[in-house]
Amino acid sequence: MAAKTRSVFRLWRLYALMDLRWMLQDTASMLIVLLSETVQNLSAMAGVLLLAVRFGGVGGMTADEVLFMLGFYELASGLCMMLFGGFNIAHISRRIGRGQVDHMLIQPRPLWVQLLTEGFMPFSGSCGFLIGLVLTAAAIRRLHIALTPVWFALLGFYLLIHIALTLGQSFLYGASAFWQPVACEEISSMILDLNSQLGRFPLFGLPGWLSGLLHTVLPVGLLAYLPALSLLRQLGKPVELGLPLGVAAVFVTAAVVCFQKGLKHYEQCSCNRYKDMGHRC
Amino acid sequence: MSNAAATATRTWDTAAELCHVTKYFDQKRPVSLFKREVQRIHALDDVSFTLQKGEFAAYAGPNGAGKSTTFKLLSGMLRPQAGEVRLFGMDPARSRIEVMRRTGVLFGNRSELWWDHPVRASFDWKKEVWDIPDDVYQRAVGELRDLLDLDDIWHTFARELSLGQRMRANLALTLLHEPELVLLDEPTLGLDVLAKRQMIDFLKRINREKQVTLLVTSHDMDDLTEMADRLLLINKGRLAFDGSYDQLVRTTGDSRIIRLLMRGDAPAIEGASFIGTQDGRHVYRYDAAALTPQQLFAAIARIHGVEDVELGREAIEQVIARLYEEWRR
Repeated sequence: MAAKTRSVFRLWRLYALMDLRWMLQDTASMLIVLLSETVQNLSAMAGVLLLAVRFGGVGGMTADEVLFMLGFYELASGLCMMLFGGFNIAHISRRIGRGQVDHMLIQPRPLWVQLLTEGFMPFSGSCGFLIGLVLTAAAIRRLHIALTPVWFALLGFYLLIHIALTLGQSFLYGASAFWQPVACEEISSMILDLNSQLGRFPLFGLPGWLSGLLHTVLPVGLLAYLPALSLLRQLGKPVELGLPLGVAAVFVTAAVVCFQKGLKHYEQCSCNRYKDMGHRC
Repeated sequence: MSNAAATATRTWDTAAELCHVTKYFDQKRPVSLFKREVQRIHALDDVSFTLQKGEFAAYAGPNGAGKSTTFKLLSGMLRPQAGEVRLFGMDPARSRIEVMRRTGVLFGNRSELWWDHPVRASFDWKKEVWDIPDDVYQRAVGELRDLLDLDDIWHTFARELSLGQRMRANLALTLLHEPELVLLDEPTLGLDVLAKRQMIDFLKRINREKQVTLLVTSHDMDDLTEMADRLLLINKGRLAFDGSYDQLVRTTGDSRIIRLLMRGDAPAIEGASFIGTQDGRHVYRYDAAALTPQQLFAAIARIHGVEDVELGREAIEQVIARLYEEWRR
């Protein structure tokens, strides 16, 4: 296990270096990528934030609390993209649907090691994370939140939950591309887009059944809204920890089971299509 | 074949082995707006062969014969419905990691190069992922850059390479970890004459000098004839021939070609069949075992207006093309 852990770190270093080289090889491209990422991230949250500022709050949260929630969303999704955004690991249905799993099967590494490391892009993928860091810091300052070790542990817990839910859903639904490569090639992207659009909204005031649905079956409420409430100390502890942990565990387990079943199917049927778009793109 | 019998065929000298392998796919085809019919396609049907270490074998067959399926089975990407696939005595699907350390796989229409990086970066990447020791890496890179003429493209982005350059870089990358077995699916695809020559020379050299076992597919039979000592012909999922080119020629008959230069329509030659007219010459095929030279020349002498006669062996490519045509029928 120690050898595998060492190899994971070595591969992270490798992909970090490749990402850095990619960033530095063309300054104009690098600046355009960073600028477009920044504009994309800021515009994605502008709607909710402007509404909150205009009306002094929205969905049961003040404007500063909304800023904190949006900051947390950027931080968590940015971290997820930084770790798994490269070469379509987060958008796994693309790799499967394009017949590119073959490239993984000829590498003498366990698949989980490849999936854990290949998407690492700490430089080109850090934009969302950095924006989230600035927004969260600004919100913490305005809200005078006490930064204790427990608070930081809770923050780490919710960041992990966000990543687990995002990847869990992407891999769970993305595994369908093993059976229907053409129809499901973009299903992971759809799921990530859905999370991105709904995960930034405060959900207070919704009917109970809808709120329940958005915290379990389609768990967008667990991506930023509930973590923000918890970190702002507005929820009771059992719900703060138990619900996200339980739902994330269900999604991750289902994703692992379905992905393995999909791989078994792939070993029987392979994929009769192959998109040569740069084999990891 | 029973497990015991299958095991009995294996030796330490065996690089790859297929024992009574059957692989089929069920394809759904729409027959009407709401109705679909399942058709079973037999990609491989009870195929067996063994590749000894150091062998250079060509694997050929018409489109859809089962070549790529065989390569995917050997690479552990697919599992058979029946039979056994073994590489170095291991099941490639179960022992994927160990097998892949000793095997190089290259599909002609795919690239292992990192698209948005210089060629060099893909080699650095492979060194880490395959855990190649520094000394092996330095030696292999030095040799491959030299033999495959990679120096000019070493710092070029993979996306900017021509097809021939990409194939050379891909082949070098496939061989970087010094695999014992190399599976090459269409390695000469799209290459010009010079690039093809380089590729063939290189493959023959590593087979001869390093005893690398090679299994190569190509649609260009001239290439395969030149490269490999052994020919495996597959048709409709069945192994139709396994042997040397000489054996193939003996099996298909000692087929010869006559070219007659003359004006007017092609006359009939007793014992030979007219194939067509190329560059003003009428071309005939005959079986040298059935028609003696005396009979042949006597038949030609009876034809008026012959300006020139050329005799020769039928190219292996034509022999196989004729076989494919017969199989298709």
